[in-house]
Amino acid sequence: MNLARYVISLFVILSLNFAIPRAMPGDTMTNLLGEDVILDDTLVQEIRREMGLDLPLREQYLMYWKDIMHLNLGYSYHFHSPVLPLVLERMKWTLLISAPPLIVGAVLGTLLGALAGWRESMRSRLQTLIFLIIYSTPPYFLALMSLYIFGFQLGWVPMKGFYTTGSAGNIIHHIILPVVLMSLFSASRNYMIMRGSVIQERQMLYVLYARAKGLYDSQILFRHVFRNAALPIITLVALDFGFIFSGALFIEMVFSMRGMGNLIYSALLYRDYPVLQGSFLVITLMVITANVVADVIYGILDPRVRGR
Amino acid sequence: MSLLELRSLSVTFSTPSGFVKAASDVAMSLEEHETLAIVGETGCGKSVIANAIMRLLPENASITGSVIYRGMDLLKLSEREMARIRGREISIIFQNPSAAFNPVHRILDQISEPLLIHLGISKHSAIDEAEGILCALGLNGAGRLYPFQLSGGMNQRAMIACSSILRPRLLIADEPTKGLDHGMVNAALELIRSVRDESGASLILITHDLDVALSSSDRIAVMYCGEIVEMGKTEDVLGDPAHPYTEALRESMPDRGFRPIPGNTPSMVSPPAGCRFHPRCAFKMNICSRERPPLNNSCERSVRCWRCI
Amino acid sequence: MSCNISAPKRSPRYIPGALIFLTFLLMAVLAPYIAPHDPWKRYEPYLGPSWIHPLGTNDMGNDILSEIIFGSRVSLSVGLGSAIISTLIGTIIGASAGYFRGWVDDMLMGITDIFLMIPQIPLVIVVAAFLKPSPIMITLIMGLLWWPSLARIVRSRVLQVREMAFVGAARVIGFSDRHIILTDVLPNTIHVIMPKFMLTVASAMIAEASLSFLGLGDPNAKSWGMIINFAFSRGGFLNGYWWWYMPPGICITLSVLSLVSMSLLLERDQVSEHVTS
Repeated sequence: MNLARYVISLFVILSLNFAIPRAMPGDTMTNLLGEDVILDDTLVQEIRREMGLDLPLREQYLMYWKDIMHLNLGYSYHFHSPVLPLVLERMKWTLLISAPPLIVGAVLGTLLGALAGWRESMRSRLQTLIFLIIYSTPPYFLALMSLYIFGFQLGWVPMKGFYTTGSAGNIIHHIILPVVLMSLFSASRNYMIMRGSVIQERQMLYVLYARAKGLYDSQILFRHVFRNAALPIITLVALDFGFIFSGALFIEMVFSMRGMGNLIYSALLYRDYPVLQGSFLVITLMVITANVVADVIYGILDPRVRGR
Repeated sequence: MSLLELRSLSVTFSTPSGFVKAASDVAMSLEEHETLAIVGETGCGKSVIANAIMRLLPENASITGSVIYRGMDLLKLSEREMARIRGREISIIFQNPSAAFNPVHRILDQISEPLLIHLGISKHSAIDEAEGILCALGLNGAGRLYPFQLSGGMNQRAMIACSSILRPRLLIADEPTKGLDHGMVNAALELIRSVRDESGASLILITHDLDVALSSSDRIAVMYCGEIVEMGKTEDVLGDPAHPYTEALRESMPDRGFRPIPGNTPSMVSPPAGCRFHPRCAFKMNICSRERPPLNNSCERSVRCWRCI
Repeated sequence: MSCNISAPKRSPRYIPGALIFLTFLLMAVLAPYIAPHDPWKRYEPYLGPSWIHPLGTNDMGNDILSEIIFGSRVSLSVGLGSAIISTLIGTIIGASAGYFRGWVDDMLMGITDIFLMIPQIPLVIVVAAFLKPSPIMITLIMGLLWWPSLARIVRSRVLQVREMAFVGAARVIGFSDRHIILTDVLPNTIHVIMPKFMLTVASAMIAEASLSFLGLGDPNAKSWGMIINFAFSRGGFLNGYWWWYMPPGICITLSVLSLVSMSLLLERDQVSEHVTS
């Protein structure tokens, strides 16, 4: 049943990806190649034939699926390169700055959020306020300000890029500020959700019964409440991994880092539609995989789902 | 010395709609191996007493008075000291067993938990012991399942096992028969009585069902609107009620023809002045609405009524 | 277990959030009266803060304070507009699914599940890249994409409400389904919709600001995000003109903060109400 849901979703979204450039105003050819491509007429005709744009939509649609099956994501005339290797090359850098924050943010956010939801104190209120402010700030705005303060004014970190010399220390120096920022963002989201979740779970009878059994305060939180309260976080963190390649979009822009996010940004700037669509396709696949993984983990942690 | 003694115990909840006086000036005592039933309508404060003894009330509750258990005042203990008493010395059985278990843990892990935290034995032997107890209850194999996979009755048996696994000296059963059908009621009571006798515990049985009280308790306390109105030997009190409320409660039981008590349960925020039962009482006198009657002690029976002075 | 239809309690904890948001709303409504200058009029470019131009001027010589005051109109209307659209759709779909159940439920929730799976922000970016959209277009796109999570929340609440005694009574009396949904079911659902609505306004505002920052907004509709984008791409940032990019960022953060905090408090009160009932 669930599998059918994923297959249908994948089918619908990929079809959407086919439909968008053809349904949008303007010449489909331009919509598929990108706007900064200037070609002479004979070449245009040739490409048009090659891409099957003369064919009826039904056959174009079949061709589209055949290309996907062969991992052929098209050709970027802007970068003069097929889209797939371009994307793959950028992915690893994005992974480098995105994966650590997701893990740090998940651990930090759920732990602190759980404690804050369990017992209210002056400290937890202040903590909540700080995370709330981070949660409410557009990521790029906070990134801009931090870059201005720590890079421009204090000169503690480089202003742009992944590396200058390429040594490990040099790379860490470059990525430390973006990684810290993204960790804070991820932590703040998880903190808010986990805190609310614990506040809700706290009212449950099983918590009272755990206390009646003689469990001490923190034992109740970590042996009983935590797992129940963390269930909603599972899906969110899994989805974060699904969005891992686009999640760093703004950070990469502000810090001028040549990752997937920046690829998407330059594709936007030059209206390089093949790259844009290829990236969208990769993100879609990742997000749907993440949904599957979330369901599996959820099933392991919540017997009620598994039992059904 | 009594096992448990409540001295002028009062519980007040602060809520958005005002202060709810859930229990006022409750005094009672419980001997070793004795069973005391607390009866009354829903919302009369009987469950509050149970939770106050174990200090399980929510944060918006304020408690005054004292709860003397084996010579120590439980209300004066630190939270950590109290945690050592809960589950080991004093245990409770809740009325909604399916919600009292954690949905994401196996029954077996939850039943063996008191062994783990109070005795510090190994996980393996705790599980073994819990498994033995489940088998004795006829729940073979249920331990590997999760609460949602068990029926309400099975969950209840599992919870009784869990609450009595450390042979507590005092067992509190909070409405253990509520929501069960007739056949199940007797089985549940039978089980509670047998774990009580096996561990030589005293029992506080909280119920709205007078038949349950009659069949299983030595003494009974009748509560109305947060107060004890009558207390004494169960057969005496229920056989010949002295307080009009006890009488009315008895008449409202199914086998007596379901005659409802006239009027509504009073507000706990601003309870009636004088005797709290006077607005619904058939024997109301002038003094009843003016002055609050004391709990009068005479020959093993306490009654809070101006007619019984 | 009674669930009264009650207005949220007037707790002082709502006041800071509500005040901030009201201030921004007033700012948007009264923009022509309180802005010191016409936001399109050109003065000398790159002026620092002064009495005449409290937040200086930008590269085109536009008065930045006036831009920000007028920008609240774009930012707030995109946020409120897309939240209203998505809340309407989500409520209709969720309420129908929960009330009628059966095949209606299966079908609507199937569609919802597919929509939930769409990577929304990337899709908005792709569509916006093709359309070079106006604020109205962005509002529509986001409104049409953001209803699924609300639909799920509304559905599960309606499933609860329809089992309540008074709904059953209304059905027995013979009121029409539409009547029952509008007068009995929805009023008892509003308290789960409101917090979600505020969160949607907040995330739509952040999304609008992000799209503008990517240059996907309409440069002729200067929203707060667009002002930051200009400051970033036209040297305001590198030259340290903090009065250019800081105020619009603070405006976004403050309005989002006020919405999120009100939403959290509403949800919190719901939890405690459940306990007392």
